[in-house]
Amino acid sequence: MAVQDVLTLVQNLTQQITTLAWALFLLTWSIGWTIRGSPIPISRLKRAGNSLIEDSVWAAFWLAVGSTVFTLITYLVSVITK
Amino acid sequence: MYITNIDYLILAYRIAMLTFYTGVLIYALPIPIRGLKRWAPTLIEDSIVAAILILILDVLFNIVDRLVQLAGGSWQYFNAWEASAVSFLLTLKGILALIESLPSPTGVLGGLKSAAYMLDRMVTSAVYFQGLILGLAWLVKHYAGPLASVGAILYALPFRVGRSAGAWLIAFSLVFSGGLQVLPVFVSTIGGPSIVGPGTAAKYGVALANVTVTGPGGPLDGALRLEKTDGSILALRPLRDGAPIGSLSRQGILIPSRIPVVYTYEYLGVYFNLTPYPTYPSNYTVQAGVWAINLSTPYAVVGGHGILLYTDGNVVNVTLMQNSVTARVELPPGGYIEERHASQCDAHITSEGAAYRVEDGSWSWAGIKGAYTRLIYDNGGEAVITYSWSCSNPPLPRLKFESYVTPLSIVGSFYTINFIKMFIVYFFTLPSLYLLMLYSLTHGLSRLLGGRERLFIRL
Repeated sequence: MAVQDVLTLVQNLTQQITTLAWALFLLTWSIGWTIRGSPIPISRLKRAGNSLIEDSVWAAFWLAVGSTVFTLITYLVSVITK
Repeated sequence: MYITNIDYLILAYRIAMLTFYTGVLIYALPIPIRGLKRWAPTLIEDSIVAAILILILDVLFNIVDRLVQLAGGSWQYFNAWEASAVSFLLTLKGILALIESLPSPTGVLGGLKSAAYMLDRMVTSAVYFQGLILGLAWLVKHYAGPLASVGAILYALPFRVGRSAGAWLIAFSLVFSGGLQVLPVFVSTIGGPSIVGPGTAAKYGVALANVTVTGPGGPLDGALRLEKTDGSILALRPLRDGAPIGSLSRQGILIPSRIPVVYTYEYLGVYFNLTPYPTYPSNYTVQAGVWAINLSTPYAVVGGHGILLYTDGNVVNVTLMQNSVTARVELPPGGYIEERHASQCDAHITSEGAAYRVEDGSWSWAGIKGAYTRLIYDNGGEAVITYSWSCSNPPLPRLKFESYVTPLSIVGSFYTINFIKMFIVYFFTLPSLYLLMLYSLTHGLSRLLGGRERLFIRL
C-alpha cells in the first residue's frame, strides 16, 4: 500500500468522522435539551442533560474552528521558522 | 533538508487532524461517561502539539546541524576518527593473535601469552563497540529524516497509541544525528590533545613487513639485524632462503613504521649494511596492509650453511651451482676476496686473473668456530673466483634471536602509556561515556516531547 493510499484513507476517515460528529452534535444537543427540559424533577438527571448540552456546544465550537486551528498553526509555524 | 520524503510528514499531519476530529467526535457523543469524555480535550491538545512538532521537525534538524557546526563536528571528522579507531584496533588484534599463536614448548611465553589473551578480549569487545557506533552512525546519517517522520506518524496517532515510541524515535534521530558528529570532538577535548587523526594503522608504530635479503648470488642465509639509526637493536632474526623466520611469526617481521631503521646482514662474524641504508618507511611497498621490501648487499656473494664468500670489489657476474660458485670480480687496488667456513665444513677457493697474496686466520662467531682465507689483490684488477665447499652438518649459530614484539609486549620503547591511554580513553571509555550521555539526552527529550509525561500546553 503506497503512502498515497494511506493518505486518502486517513482523509476519508477524517471526513466521515467530521460528518458523524456534526450529526452527533445535533443528536446530543437535542437529547441534552430533552433531558433538561423534561418534567422529571431529579437533579442528577437534569445535570446530565446540562453536561450533554455543554459538551455538544464544545464539539460544535471545535468543529467550526477545526480547519481554522490547523491553518493557524501552519501559518504561525511558517512565520516563526522563516 | 533532512526530511526528504514529504509524504510521510503529510500523512503525519493528516493523522494529527484525524486525532483532532476524533476528539471532537468524543465531545459530541451523547454518552455522559466522565472517563470517555475526558479523552476529548486530551486528544485535541495532543493533535495540536503533534501538528506543531511535525511542522517544525525540519527546523529542529537544522538547529541541530547548526549546533554541530558550532561544536566543530562533522561527518568527515567522525569518519576519519572511526576509520583510525577500527584500523588501530584490528592491527592490534592481529598483533595479539600473532603473540597468542606463538609455539611455546617450554612454557616460558606463558605469561606473555596470557597477557596477550586478556588484552585480546578487551580489544575484541572494543571492536564490537566500534561496530555498534558505526551502525548507529550509518543509521542516523542515512535515515534520521525517515526515522523522525515515522516517529511523527506514531506521535500523531489518536489515543496516544504510539506517542512514547514516536517521541523516542524523533528524539533519537535528532540527538544521535548531531551527537555522533561531535563524538571525536568530545573525545579529543576530554581526553587531552588529539593523538588520533585520520590515517592508517601504521601510524601507531608497527607494521608487518615481508623482507627478503639477497646478495649477488641470490638469497642469503644467516641472521638479520634490525636496529634504530641510533644503534639500539630492535630485532635479530634468523634468515632462511633470504627471509627472516622465527617462532613469533611464520611470515614477516614486525617493524617500527614511523622511523627509519637500519638492516644488517650478519653471518660468521661479518656484518653487511643492507640497502636501502637507512631504510625509511617510504621505501616499503604496501599492499593489503603488509609492507614488503627487498634488501640487498653487493658484497656477500654467497652466505649460509656454514660458508660465506664476500668481497669489497665489484661483483660482475655470478654462476651458482650445487656446493660451488664462480664469480667474476673487479677489484680496486688493495681489494680483497674472503671466504669463511665453519670448522665442520671443507672449502676450497681458487682465483684466476689478477695477482694476489693469501692471508689465513681463524674466527669465532655466535658459538661457531672456523677459518678464513683472504685473497688480497694489491694492484687490483679483474679476478675469476671459483669457490667450492662441502658441509655435511652445517652449524647453527647460538644467537639470542629477538623480535620487535618483545619490546612491544613489555610496553617498552614504543608502546608507552600513550598506547594504553589511546586504547582505553579514546576508543572505549570516552565513546561509551558519550554514547551514554546521548542516550540520556534522547530519553530526556522523548520525555519532554511526551514519551511518558505530557508537554504542558494548556488550552
